[in-house]
Amino acid sequence: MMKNLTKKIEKLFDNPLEHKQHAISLDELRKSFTLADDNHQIVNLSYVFTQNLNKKDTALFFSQLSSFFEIGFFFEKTNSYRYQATQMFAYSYQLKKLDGLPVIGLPNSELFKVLQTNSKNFLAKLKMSEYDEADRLSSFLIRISQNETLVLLSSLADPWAKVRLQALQNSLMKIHFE
Amino acid sequence: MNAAEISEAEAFGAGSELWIIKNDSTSKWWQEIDFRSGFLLSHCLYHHRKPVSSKVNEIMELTEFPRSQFSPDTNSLLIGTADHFLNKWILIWDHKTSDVNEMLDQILVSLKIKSIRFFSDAEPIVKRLKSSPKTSLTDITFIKNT
Repeated sequence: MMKNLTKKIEKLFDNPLEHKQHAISLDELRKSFTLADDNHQIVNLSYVFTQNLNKKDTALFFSQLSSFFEIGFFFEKTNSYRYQATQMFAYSYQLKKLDGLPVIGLPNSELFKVLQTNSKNFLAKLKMSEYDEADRLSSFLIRISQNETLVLLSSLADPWAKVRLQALQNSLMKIHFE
Repeated sequence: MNAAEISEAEAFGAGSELWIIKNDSTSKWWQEIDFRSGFLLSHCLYHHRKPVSSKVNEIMELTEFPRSQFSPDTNSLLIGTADHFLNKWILIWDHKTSDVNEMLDQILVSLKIKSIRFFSDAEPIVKRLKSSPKTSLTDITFIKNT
């Protein structure tokens, strides 16, 4: 039994820097990130994406939001109310491998209506609590089409976040998602 | 007792101490309340109590340690939600309206609740409340199209 335990402990120290390196890189990303402060650029997105957006264009549109929000998730419906994250950015960095993220239940609210929730619980649901350890972000859900929903996390205080989300709502309403 | 219908836009507004909703995770209001509260409903409803391990059981028997009696599982659940919404409580009921009637009889008096809001169709519950002489309710609200 002691042998097994020793083996397990040794395994933990195989690459002692591995976990720390990830922690440092996330911390560095966070520190190097500067939130864009001009909401007009969000409004202008509707002038850039004027035609019906296909999947590729929608992905491009979503990536454009990475300057305005700390973290963002693009969810696609898997069944009546379960959603899978298919795209994500964090501190301007686009994350690609999202297969391991759990499928979660999200509300099928009216299109473009903004719902707010606690980021800590939301990230915990996705098993990504380390992305906001300081608990300083707020999460906002916006459904953009029958099967697609955005969840955007922002550190802006409520009055400023509200103005930003209104700009985004105005922009989204002018864009046609397929 | 006033019974009034309110619009969907007013659903999360102040004015009712107790919100009542049927436990249906596919319903629009259930999902919205769950999300806005940081997944409080799913945490409470799908939380499984950990069974006491056989080792602990053994020690308790040996030491003759008294066992706590937890309340039995019921088909309705009352959650304190003052930190999440402009209310005090949410009562979730499952399948049978008799369960919620029983729960309401207990909590309306003990928690001194004066106003309730229904997030799902609950006509039999309301009929019973209206005819019950015991209730101290002054306001009942419903949301349109539920």
